[in-house]
Amino acid sequence: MRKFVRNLQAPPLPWMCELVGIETAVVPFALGALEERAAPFVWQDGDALIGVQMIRRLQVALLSGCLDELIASQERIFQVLDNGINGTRYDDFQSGTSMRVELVRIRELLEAQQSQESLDPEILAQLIQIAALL
Amino acid sequence: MGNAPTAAIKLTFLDRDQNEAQVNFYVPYSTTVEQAWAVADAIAARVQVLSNALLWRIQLVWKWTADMPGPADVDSNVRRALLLLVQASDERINALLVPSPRDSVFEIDGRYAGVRVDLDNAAVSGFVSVLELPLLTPDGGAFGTDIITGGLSL
Repeated sequence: MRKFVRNLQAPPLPWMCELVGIETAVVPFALGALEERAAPFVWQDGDALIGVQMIRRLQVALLSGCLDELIASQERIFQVLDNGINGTRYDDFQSGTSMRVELVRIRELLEAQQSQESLDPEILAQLIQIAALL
Repeated sequence: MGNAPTAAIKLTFLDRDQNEAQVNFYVPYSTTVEQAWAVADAIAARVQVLSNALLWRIQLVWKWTADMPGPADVDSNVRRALLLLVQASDERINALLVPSPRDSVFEIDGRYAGVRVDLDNAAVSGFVSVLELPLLTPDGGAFGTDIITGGLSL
């Protein structure tokens, strides 16, 4: 016989954010499992609204694909550095205007450095500054 | 296709051990909600004279059932559901489940292919017209009209 969970206590606000990675193939099963706890009777008196909203937010998070944005952001930074240092060309280069400006500066600094025997402290400082911006 | 000939008035009673018992009465299907509530109240008042159990729920049920249902689609499977997540104006997120969703309502490319609902799909975007009806949550809040996402629920 099925035993329903009841009288769960909703965790108090504010809630902290946690970044986790799961296979998308798992998402439908996770959505279905969470749905069983989205019923008001599962939560103790006074906690139903916040408890159910907690479940809904988790379901939205499972479908939001937020890691895509983080990975794309990392990829853009990699492309900027790879283009600036190694000269690799990307047909679908997607950096923003500020990144393009930094890319030009990196190239200029590297070209200037190539004509010198040792690392210029001033150029090194600028490279560090640019790295911090990226 | 047709309606049942009657609407049901269902009274549920509790005893000292929390056991439930239900008493059903039937009225013509054409009975209005107001008329049915009046009948239910009258019945409840008289039954409570006969019984010392606790009346704690009254349900009014108008039921429609297909007379001669044809075969369901060979690909249909109600164990699968589309979970649609809808945001209301008060930022609450509400949900509804659509049984046995068509494969075409899900994204077809990318890592969420077959898992996440395609918000650009005409059937999905057209569903907003349903959400614009005066729908409420069980506690009386606005259900919302903004489908923010959705996915296959197993």
